[in-house]
Amino acid sequence: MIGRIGRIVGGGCTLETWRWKFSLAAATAVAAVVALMVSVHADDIAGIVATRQATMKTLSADVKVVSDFTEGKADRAAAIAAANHLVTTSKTVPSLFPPGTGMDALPGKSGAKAEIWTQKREFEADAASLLTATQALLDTVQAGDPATTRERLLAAGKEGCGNCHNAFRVRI
Amino acid sequence: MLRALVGLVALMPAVSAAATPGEARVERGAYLFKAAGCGVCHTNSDHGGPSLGGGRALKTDYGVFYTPNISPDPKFGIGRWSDADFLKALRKGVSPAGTDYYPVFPYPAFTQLSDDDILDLKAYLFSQTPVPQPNRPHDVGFPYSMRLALVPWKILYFREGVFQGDPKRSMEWNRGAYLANAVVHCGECHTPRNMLGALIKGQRFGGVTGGPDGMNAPDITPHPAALGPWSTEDLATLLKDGITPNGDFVGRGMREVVADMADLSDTDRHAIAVYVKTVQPLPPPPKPGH
Repeated sequence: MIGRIGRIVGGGCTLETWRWKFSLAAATAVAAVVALMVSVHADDIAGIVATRQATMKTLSADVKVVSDFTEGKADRAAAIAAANHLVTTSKTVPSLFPPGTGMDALPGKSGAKAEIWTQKREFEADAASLLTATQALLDTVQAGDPATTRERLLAAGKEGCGNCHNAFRVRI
Repeated sequence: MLRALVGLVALMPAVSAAATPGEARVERGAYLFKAAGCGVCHTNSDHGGPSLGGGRALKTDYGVFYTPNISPDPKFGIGRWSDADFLKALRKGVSPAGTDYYPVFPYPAFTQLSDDDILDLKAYLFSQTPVPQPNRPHDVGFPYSMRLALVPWKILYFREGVFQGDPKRSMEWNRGAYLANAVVHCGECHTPRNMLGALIKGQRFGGVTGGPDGMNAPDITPHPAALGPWSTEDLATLLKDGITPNGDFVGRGMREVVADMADLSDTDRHAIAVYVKTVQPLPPPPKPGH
C-alpha cells in the first residue's frame, strides 16, 4: 500500500527513498549539531580550566609580592595591594570549579580531582579557609610587621593553599 | 685528606655548652633525626599513630610497605639493639637477625653516614618514649615477597661505604653533598628508578612522576626547565619555608620534608642548596598525559 502511494506521490522517487533520504539528512544534521555541541562544550571546559589555572597563577604572583615585602624586597603599599587582591581572588575560588571540568574531562591539562564535586562540603570548607587565611594576611600586612606577615603568609600557604591542593589536586 | 674531609662534613652544629657527652650525642642525634626525616616515615601521622611507632603505609609499584617501630621498646622496637646492630642496619641494610632490608628503607643513602652520626642518631632514638606496638607485615606480592631476591639486588645496586668528599670542592659544597645524599636522601624521591627499584645514577635528582603514594617529585637539577633559574638563596628559602620563587607552595610530600628542614641551621640549608645547584642538569620527565 505505502509502496503504491510512494510510487504515486513521488513519481520517479518512491516514498521509501524519500524517507531514507530524509532520515539520512536528519541523522547527519543531528550528528553535526551534536558534534558542534561536543566541540563547543570541550572548548568551554578548556577555557574554564585555563581561566582557573591563570587565576591560581595570579594568587602565586600576589603571594610573591607579599613574600618579597617580608624579605625587604617590596614596599608595603605593593604588599597591601597584593594582599587585597588575594582576598578578592580567594572569594572567587569556589566558582572556578563548575562540575565536569576536572581531570577526567581534560586529562593531562587539569589536575582537579573528582573529589572536588563528590566531597563538595570539604572542598568548600577548604576554600573558606583560604579566604579566612588571606583576610588574616591582609590584616597583618596592613599592620606592617614583616616578620609577623611572613608567619601569616606561610600559615596561609599551609592552611589555605596546601590543605586544598593536598586533598583535591594532582600535580600535572 | 678524604678521611679528614668526611670527619668535618659529618660534624654537626655546636650543641649546648653545658651538655654532657651523652646529652650532646642525643642533641646531635635529634638534629640528624630531623634532617633525615626519620619521623616522617616511622610515624603513622595520618592515623594519629605514636611517634616512632611505625605503621605508615608506603604504597609503591612493588606493593605496600609498612614502616617498622623504631622506638626504644625492647619487644616491638629497637630497644635491644646494640651499637653494632644499629650500625649494621644503616651501613649494610641488614637487620640484627641477618635479614636484608628492602631498599624502601633508604640504607643506600644512610650507608654514607659517618659512624659518629649513626650512633648519635641511635642515642636520640633511645632517649625517646618506647612504643609497645607490633610491626605490621609488608603487603608485597611475588616475586618481591622473596627476601632472597634482595641478595642479587644488593650485589647489583648497593655499594656500602661512608661518604667520600671531593677535596677539589669547598667545605660548604662537601657538607651540602653529605647532607643531601647521606642524610636528607633527596634522591630517594627525586631520582628515577629502574624496573628493579634501584636509583638510576646518571639521572640523579632528575624528577619522578608517579613515585611512592602516587606523588610526583619534580626535577631539582639546575636544568633551565627545572631549578636553573633559581638562585642558591631561592632554594635555601624553599627548604626553610616551603615557598618557591614564583610564590607557589610545595606540595604534600615536600611539605613534610620542609617541616623538618625548617629546623636545620641556615648554614646547612645553604650548603644543601650550594650542592644541589651543581649536580648534572637534566631535562624534566614528560608530564603524564603528554
